[in-house]
Amino acid sequence: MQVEVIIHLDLIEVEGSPPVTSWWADSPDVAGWIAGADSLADLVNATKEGLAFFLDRSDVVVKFILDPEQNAVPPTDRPQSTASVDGREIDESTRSSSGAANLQSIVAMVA
Amino acid sequence: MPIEIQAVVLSDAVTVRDGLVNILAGGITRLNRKELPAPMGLSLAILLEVLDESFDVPHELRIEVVDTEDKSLFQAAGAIFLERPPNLNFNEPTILPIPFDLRTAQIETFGRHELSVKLDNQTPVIRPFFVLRSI
Repeated sequence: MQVEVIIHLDLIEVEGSPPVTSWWADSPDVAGWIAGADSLADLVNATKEGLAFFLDRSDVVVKFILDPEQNAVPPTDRPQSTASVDGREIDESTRSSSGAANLQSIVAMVA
Repeated sequence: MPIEIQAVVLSDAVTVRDGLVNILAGGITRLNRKELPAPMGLSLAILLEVLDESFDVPHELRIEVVDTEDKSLFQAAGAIFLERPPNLNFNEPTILPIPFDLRTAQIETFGRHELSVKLDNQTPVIRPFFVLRSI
């Protein structure tokens, strides 16, 4: 069973000191489930364990998504890079494996 | 380690296109300023090496600049998530370049500063730089 989980990053104001980051997750597939943690690594672990417990299933596969509203790199059409060497056109768009992969990111300025 | 910081480079400008990084004047360790406060005027290039089990899982990245008295001048927290690239070959490395804009961060004192980049719960990578008074 695949479950989509959305990761959110919040800043919590603390009087007299810089804001504290807080990670939380919810799922459009599982109503009423929510998880939170101080670090993303803890949230990932809590999500995997918590969802299996919440759904009472051992076959839960989590598909993580970073909050699209906080996405620092909105998806765009990838530019096609081409160059010419000795009159022959070469495809430069696949010279890095990460360049061909879907990347999501979110960022918050703490201070 | 399934994911690790391969490089942290302070530079004039950083752009990423098609997964490849362009770094202009990288390796900066000195900032010359006539007066302070002044903008940092730097860009940061972070290169991550991502291995098998680190695809399709979000990773936390924290960036902080502290001054000579350990006062935090700039802090950012965020997450990156890279899907497994299509047609990835066995043992093929995946390098994920991340540009970061530090141009408007304010520096307030002369002397040694430290930039730290922390990935998940790993030991942070520290890049010291000096703010010097220019004549």
